[in-house]
Amino acid sequence: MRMRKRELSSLALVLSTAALLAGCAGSGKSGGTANEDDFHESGLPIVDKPITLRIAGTYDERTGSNWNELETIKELNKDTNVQEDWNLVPGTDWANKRKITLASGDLPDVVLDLTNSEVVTGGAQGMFIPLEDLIAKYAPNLTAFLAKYPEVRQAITAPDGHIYSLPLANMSQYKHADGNSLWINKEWLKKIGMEMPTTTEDFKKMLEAFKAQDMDGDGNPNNEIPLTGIYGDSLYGLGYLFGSFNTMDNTFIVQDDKVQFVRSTPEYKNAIDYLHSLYAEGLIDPETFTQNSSQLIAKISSGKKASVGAFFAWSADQNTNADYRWDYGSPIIPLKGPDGYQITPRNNLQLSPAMFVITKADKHPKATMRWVDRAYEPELSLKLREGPNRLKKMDDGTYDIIENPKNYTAGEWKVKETPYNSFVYGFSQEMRDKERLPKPKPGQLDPDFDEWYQALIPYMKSWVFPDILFTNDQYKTIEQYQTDIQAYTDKMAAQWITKGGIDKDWDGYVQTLNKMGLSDYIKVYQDGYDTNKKNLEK
Amino acid sequence: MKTSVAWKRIVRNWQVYVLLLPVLVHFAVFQYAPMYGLQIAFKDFIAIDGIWGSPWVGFEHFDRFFHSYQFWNTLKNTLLINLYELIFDFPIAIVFALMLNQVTRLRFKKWVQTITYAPHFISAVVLVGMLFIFLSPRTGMINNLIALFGGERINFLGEAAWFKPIYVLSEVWQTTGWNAIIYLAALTAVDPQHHEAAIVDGASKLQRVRHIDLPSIMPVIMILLILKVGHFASLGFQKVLLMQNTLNIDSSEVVQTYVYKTGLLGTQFSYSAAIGLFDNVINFVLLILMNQLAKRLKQQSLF
Amino acid sequence: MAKPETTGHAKIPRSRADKLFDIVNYTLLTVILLIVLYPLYFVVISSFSEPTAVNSGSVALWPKGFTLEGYRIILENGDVWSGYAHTILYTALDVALGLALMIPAGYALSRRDLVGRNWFMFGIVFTMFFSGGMIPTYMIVKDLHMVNTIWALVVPSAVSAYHLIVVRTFFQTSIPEEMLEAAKMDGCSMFRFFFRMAVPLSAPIIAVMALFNAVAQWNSYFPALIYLQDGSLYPLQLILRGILISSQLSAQGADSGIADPDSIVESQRYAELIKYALIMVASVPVLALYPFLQRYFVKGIMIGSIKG
Repeated sequence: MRMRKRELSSLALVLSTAALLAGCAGSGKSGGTANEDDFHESGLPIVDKPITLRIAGTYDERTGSNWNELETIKELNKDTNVQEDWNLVPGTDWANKRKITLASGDLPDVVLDLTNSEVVTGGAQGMFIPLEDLIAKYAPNLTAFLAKYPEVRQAITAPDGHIYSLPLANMSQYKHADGNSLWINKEWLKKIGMEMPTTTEDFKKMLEAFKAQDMDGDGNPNNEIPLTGIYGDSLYGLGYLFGSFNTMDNTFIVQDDKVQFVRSTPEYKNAIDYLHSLYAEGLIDPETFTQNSSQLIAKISSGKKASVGAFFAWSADQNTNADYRWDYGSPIIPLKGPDGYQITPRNNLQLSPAMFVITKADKHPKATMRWVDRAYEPELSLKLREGPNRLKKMDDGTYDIIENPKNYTAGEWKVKETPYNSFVYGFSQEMRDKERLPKPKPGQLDPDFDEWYQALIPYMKSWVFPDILFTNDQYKTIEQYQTDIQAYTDKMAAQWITKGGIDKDWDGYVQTLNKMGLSDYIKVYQDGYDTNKKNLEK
Repeated sequence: MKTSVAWKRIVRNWQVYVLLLPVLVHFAVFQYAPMYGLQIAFKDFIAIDGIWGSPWVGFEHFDRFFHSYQFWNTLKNTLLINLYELIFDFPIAIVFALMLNQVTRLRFKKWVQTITYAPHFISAVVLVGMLFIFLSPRTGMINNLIALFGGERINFLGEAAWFKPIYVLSEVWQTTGWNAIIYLAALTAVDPQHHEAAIVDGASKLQRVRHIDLPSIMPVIMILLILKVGHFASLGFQKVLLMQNTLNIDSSEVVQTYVYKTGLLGTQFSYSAAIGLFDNVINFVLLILMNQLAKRLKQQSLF
Repeated sequence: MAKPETTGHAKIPRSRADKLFDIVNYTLLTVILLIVLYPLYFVVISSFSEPTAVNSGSVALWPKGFTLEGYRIILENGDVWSGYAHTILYTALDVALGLALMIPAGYALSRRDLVGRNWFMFGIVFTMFFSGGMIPTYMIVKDLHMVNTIWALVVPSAVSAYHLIVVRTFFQTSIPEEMLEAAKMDGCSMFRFFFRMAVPLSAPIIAVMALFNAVAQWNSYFPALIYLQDGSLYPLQLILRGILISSQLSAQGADSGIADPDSIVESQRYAELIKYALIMVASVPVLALYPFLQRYFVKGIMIGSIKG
């Protein structure tokens, strides 16, 4: 008897939305229509009978793994009748867990945080379902976001034209600015009677003075480090200086639609030459090539007095000691090189295309899509990104930022109650504009401020390789060349900077690269770029 | 018939087989049943098709590895590091166990044993972190000592030539106490009567260590030596990876770190399976050779 | 003073060569002890120190910037205590099962009258080099309905070829053939001989195997990672890995552009802060196991049993 009652009620439901349902019966492949019957196209709940999605992913330890208790997840689930069984493992182990999950075929309904190549491969194999139709029908928030940012749609569209994954995207414009900048001890500058350097020439003179004199006043002129960083690192690396030589410290750049491999260009050679001229005079810390970021931070923050003249990072105050963090300032704009160049990359915005896939094991793809679309709703996106505790909505629709309580660090406070970077959201410049951000104090600017980005705009070059998905075969080719070429060029660069000899070695180096298959390696990127461009124009 | 003789012996000794049976079942289920997975080294593994359904590619993965730019260098480094470990790490544990066995003060013995085995529990991340701190050219205590005696400070982790010594010495520090445990257990089986007889004959302690203790643990040493040689083409990659940088890469890139890096982008099950198989074929051949050599020398052997 | 040790030759007056040997031996061992001890001591004091002080090389003899923050973070995590409980349970089961399987099998493999002994050995050694890999093993465990149960962590790892070989070698070298012959003469069955003679004689190897299995299980996290879906069954090591966001390996996330720099530096500080405390929390309980097992490393039982 009970059965009969249920059938009746679902029949009523079918009738009420008959026309719409007829439309989606074609697109939904399988999954048992019985489950789809109590699905609602719009409004709440999403499904009449509660469903539970099994979702595998990773988590930030500061958030913890019990996501069902998070305020933002509760809000996401509210009144939807969609529940989740989260299978979350620690960050460092997620790659292993994910590999075996995908390879064993023992799939959950949703997988979070994959690599781009896994998405393309799994999509082509039918392990993950194509999402573009589901997005169009059931994801109004995401559709609006993708309409506003076509480059995001582009970044998540596989070369076969399908969308297999949903992104985590922060489209705040200030993220175009490079996070790798130069920080110089202004107190030391005063001591040697110099201004903030504006050219590579001045910069070298400054470092020479830092080296020669007893800057920290402890009676020993030899224990100061003029300049330090971490070779090859995207944040603490030496990339900032490359802009003075009309290039960037990236593997590939695109100039006039032509993909260039930076490390075989004359501009790169000039940059390395300059770095060697610094190293040869003992101006660069030898540990630049061996240390990791914990050691670098210890170096620039542990002493009672500053012992480092200049270093590379995105900000000084977060990396150095509170006692002297404001001693450091940045020239912000690139130094002018010997040939007058001063450029900086216009980076891609913060985007992780492969954050969320629906597997073929999911019996409720439509409900899943409607549920996850709620995360792209602007206000919930804001909360997912900034943390619900930090925001106070004002009457005029703006959001005041609440300071973190004493027993929390800023990061902990931000991450609290949100899955942070292990789930999806779509954050727009529009929402950023609604945040009442604190105004920077003079001399305390860093790349998180719009003013910093504004200052850099005149020097920006859009040469950075775009965020795109390659084909499965292209990924294989990339894999084949990437490790060897990277290792070889890294090794040679380190050797040239520390020991010199780039002029003598250069031709042989380029020849070796060609022998290693450089042209095939470049071609894959050029092909990927061309396909992407064609698709974008469509 | 020969087989019937064998069969009779089996029946007569059925109890031995009963003792062995549970382990045989364990190996059959957890080792031999999954072994069909070996074929993915010769296939292009596609998850959705499973191991059986993935297409064959023959020796493609091996070919790619053999022709990679780094092949000879990584193989050379792997074998050299293992050779150094064999020369230093392996005998030190034996000597240490023999020395410790001669200690008659039990409390001292217990302390030494417990403390020397503790480094086994230090993770690679912390171990390498400590290496960085102790060996830092500016602030490390080793370099401070060198400077104190008027020497030139050395950027230990930034010199290719220093990589292998540092790796092997830190390995000695970490594993000696742990590796000595088996020898210490084996030394308990030495018949005290031999010692007593030797003492009556006027043999010194050193002589007794050489002529009684060492020979009696020789079978264990041989077995462990054979097994050690059977790992010659492999190396735990995490510690190497953490110690690696662009300045020492020429002597620090080993097969396992290389595979790890080439597999970062994709899943690469087949490629890493192929290289794992290649390593283990080398290992297995070395083990068989070593085993036959031991047999020839009338020493303890595995089979 | 040193009691007459079980070897029983302390009563004979020591020669000058022996005295010299002892002096050299004790001196060398003391030096080794100190060399090993200092880095361990460094771990201890670092676990109470400010991480930047540790990394800048200014911690040498005592903690600097004394802090219990690392321990607080670890021990305040409620999962740590359940992790301890699980790990102790898994370790106990693993040891019991491992000994029950490996001691009889090792003994059987040491017997010359085991027909096909070399083939069995070959089959066991073979698995040290050739294995089907993660996926087929996962499938087997799944087919046995062990996924997401404690058995997935205990049963596959209970037996290892390496340990089995060590057990077999021990029996081969420590139980003389003539002893078995004598027992056979007395009409002693194989089972009887094994349980009455072999097992009591093998106390040291049982202790070593218990230790090896215990330490391996105590330190392992990978099977738990692969086979468990339910966080409530996680062993200590997996929970501790969760707390420590290993900075070196996860900082690669920075390149993919997802993480914000300030969040990276913070999680790294966090990791550095608890790195050393974590080793203490994870290892001190299992370190205590060894001195306890050492009592079984005793000589001279065998002689008594042969004579008696």
